[in-house]
Amino acid sequence: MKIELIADLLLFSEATVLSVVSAMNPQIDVLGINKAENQIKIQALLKNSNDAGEAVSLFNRKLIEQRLKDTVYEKTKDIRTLIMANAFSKTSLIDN
Amino acid sequence: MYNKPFKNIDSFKPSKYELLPFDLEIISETNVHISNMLGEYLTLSKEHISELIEQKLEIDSRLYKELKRKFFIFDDTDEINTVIDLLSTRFRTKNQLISNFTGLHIFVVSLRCEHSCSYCQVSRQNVESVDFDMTEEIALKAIDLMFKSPSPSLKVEFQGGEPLLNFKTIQFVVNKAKERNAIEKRDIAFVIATNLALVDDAILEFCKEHGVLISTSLDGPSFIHNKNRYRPGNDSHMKAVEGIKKVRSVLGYDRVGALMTTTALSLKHPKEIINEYLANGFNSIFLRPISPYGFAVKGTKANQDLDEWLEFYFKGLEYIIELNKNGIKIREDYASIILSKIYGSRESGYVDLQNPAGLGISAVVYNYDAKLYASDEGRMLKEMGVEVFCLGDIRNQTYEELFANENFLEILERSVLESSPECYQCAYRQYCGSDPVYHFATQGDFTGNKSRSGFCKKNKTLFKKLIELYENDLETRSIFQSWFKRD
Repeated sequence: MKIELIADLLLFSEATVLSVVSAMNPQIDVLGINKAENQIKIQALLKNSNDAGEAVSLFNRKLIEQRLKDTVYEKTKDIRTLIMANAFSKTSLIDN
Repeated sequence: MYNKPFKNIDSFKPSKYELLPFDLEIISETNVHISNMLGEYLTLSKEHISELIEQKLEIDSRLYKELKRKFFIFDDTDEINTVIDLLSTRFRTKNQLISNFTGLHIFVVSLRCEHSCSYCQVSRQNVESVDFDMTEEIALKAIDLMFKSPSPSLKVEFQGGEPLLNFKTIQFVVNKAKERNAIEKRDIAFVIATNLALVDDAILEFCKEHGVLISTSLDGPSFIHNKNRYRPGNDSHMKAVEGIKKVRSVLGYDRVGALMTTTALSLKHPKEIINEYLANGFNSIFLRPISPYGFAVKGTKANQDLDEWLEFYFKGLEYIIELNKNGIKIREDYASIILSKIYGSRESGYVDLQNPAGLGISAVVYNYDAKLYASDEGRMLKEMGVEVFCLGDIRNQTYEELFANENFLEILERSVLESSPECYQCAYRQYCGSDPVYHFATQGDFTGNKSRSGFCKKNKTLFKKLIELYENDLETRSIFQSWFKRD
């Protein structure tokens, strides 16, 4: 079954949308991606179901999830780097 | 009259907290699971996750205090250097195994075997083909290499084919390794992985004298075991059961362990398989999925669907929990490893759930022909014509050449979850691992697209279900705790 998924680029970055499309590989085969002014439209074929509503709902849920993940990742990037740097600077791996 | 006091004015001031790194996953219409690098996790409502991320939480709320206690946030009452030290110490501790380097050394002493197992993952050879035995010259080189590993603990595991078909090389390796260890002073252990069909008194006496452990295969009751593990006479189950008894009588009750392999036939019989383990006096079972390597992936007879395996696994786990609730103690080992990673204080060292991958770092395989492989599965892939997991030839390459070759380092680099697409933001990353061999075998790529990965689907499903079981039933929680706190 052919479906169209639409994401608002005012709410979600292009990278976020593409990550979600990739993560939906078990559910859809992508036929085409069109970028309009503030929207991305994804034409796809449903793989194992005929429930378009379920796929759209999953797409929207994953978009929100990905956006939350990206926000947390961005907000904690500096301290994450600091923790990693601190962790690796106190090993004896290089000396060994 | 409603007389709830007004909130303190301070709680309406803008929060001054900052986020610490964490990952998240929406687990239902209303809830979000979050976890951090300490392995702490919480389930929050969607409203709370928004407030948390937008830094609008009320600072006197119970949630705020819990998030702070579990290091999801910090504020101006915390000493930032202490927080960073704590998180980085935890990260270092979690990765401590890397600095020990290779502990498990698998010696494939022969490819010969008298069984014709339906899922056999290596190119087994017939019993007369002695050209497929490891020679003493190659064994010596392997021992040399093994002692170059900095690991304070070394485990030598003899595999095949059927390793007992080349028992003289096993004896040679045990004797030489012990001789060498008199100087090296490592904590060394020996295990023979055998089908037990050929075990006799002389072999067991040697094992007793040198403290050698036995690991065998038990796929279930005879109608499953004999079908999966065919040998002339159709008596592999009887040989295994008699062998287990014999080993116990000579070496001691706990000196033999058993592993099962799941096939399409076993999928229908989880209870019967578990009962077989109980009947043979085992207090644990590892409900393993079949791996997609060697003959197993080439043949259709052992082909199975992951969803079917998950159904089999959860039926088995449910039965095991029920048995425990009725006073019959038995542990499921994969659940135990995962629970230990989530709730325990120590890393289990289980090779298939390590980050970076345990290939070469935790285990290495010396093949009968002097080829060195980063893992047993990597050796199996060689039988399908894939050589990328071969580190080299131990006869003419040095330790440094074998373990620091560009190909191997690239595989390890691509297995680091913190830099793998999807994994780097996964809420289950702290408990998970990486399996470049699996992903290469199934997708032709060391990292793999996780949305198509059976490894990812299997582990995520297990993490979620085990957390749910642990959180929602106190009796089950207590059973689980007895599994991973046993040490």
